[in-house]
Amino acid sequence: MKKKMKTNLFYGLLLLPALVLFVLFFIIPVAQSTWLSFTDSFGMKSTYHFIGLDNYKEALRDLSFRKTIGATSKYALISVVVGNILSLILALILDSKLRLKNSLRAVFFIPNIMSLLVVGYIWNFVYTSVFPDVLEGLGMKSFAILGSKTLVIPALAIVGIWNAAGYYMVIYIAALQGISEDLIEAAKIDGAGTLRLLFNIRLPLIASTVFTCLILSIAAHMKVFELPYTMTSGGPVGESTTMVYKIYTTAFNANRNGYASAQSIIMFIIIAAITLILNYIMKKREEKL
Amino acid sequence: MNWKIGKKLLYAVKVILIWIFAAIFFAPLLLVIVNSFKSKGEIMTSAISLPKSFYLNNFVTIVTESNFVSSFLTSLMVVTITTTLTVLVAAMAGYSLAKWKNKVAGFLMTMIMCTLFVPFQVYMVAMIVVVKDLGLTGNLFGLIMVYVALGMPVPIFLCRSYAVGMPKEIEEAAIIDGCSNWSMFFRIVLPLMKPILATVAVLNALWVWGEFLVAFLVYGNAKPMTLPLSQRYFYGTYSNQWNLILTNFLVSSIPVILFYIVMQKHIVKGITAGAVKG
Repeated sequence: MKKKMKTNLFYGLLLLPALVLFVLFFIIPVAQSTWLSFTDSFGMKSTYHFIGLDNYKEALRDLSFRKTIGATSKYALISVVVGNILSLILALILDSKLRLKNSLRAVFFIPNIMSLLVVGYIWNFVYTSVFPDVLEGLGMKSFAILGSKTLVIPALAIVGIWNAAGYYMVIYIAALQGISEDLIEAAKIDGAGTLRLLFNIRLPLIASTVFTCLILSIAAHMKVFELPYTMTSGGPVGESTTMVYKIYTTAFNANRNGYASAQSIIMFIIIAAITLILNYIMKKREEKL
Repeated sequence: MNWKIGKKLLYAVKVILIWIFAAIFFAPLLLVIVNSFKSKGEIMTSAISLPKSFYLNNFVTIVTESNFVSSFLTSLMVVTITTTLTVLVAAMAGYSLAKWKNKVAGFLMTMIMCTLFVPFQVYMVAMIVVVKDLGLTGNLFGLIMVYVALGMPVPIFLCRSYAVGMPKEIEEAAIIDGCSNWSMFFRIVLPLMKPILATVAVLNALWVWGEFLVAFLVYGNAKPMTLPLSQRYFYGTYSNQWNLILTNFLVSSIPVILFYIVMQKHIVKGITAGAVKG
């Protein structure tokens, strides 16, 4: 009995540091965030009042906030779809026999290990200084790509893809390498060509990885902050204000903690809904097999 | 015969395609390198020309005049402490969650799993309020604590799955030999977990090194700045002096790229394991 208590104490103490951090920096902030979203909390003022659903009602009416949902979704959609296709193509090529394979992998992966802040600033330079020079060199009229209402989101998505492609490429390569050689050989003996091998064997076999990457990348791209922060400050006229950037300005420039918390909760619901739907589709698909 | 030609053609298409992609991906980095060797005027004239001479003044300015060196060292320190603590906290928690057959442990596991679905950005506003109440804003201790807390969920998972697979016999033998629980953990279990701890450490270090948003909110404008904070400051102070800004980025990215080259295997392992677990 005494020994059992000692063992329990040992396991409990091992867990303690993680538990304390978890409560202080997750449970309390999440609870606080939910609570604040129902109040008119302003800046660091310690008095605030419960105002029910007013913040949520305001958010649903607030055109500038609704616009950020559209902008973020557009950014995430382009980044996720184009990004995953690109990562998959890169992985398929780099999984085969190729000279300088490892150096090539490094080229695609390096943008991912750089700080997102630095990535944003570098592309700010590319769009504001390099791009006009290239256009002029080609004899075309230069224009500010980040100042264009229609092009600013695709421009940011290119940066998002540049940063993330190598990451998903690594996951896809690992999945492709997990396919058994025997299966491929057997299909080849049965006369399957490269394309049939790709569409009938390779891609179906890594379908669950594709879903995982879709879920991971949607969640990641929906949270984009550094890119609008470093490249556009959310402009032109709010066109590239993403949800997190909006939450940031509402909380730290306008000091409206309560309203910003409500915006955060709405963002969470959107991300959670997308994730759950994709998870559900994935489970359904796996059950069928 | 036809089949062979087709195969060769396919190979050629693959090679051409991958090199085109590689060129596109490398172009922004190449621009950073090339423009680091140019003066401000030269960049203004053309951002895509090659440097006329081997202009090294930018590097001298970065090292001598800006607070680059001090923030570099600060970041190095923050990364070292954060990663050490994260590895330790995650190893302890992961091991406990793997071996403790208890309802509490099961419940905690589910709770910690929840953190993976709630991104930091969702509760960052309230987090800053809490961190401020605890007196942890504007100091490195607070920043490190927040980093450990935010960075630990995936490491805990990885450590837990790893510990589940560890043979029970080794620990039992150690206890029979008269080891106390604690010395068994530190002298037997931790060394056994080394492979997963290395993977966890490498990924954590990369994240902390480049992390901006958390540092910006928790640590703010306090000094000494971490590298990303100093880069934001630098960008603000030297606006339009792209020669200096790009040189700063180049110099600060070199250690990370070297780190990647050395630790490539761990990074790949960590990303794939994390993706499967997440």
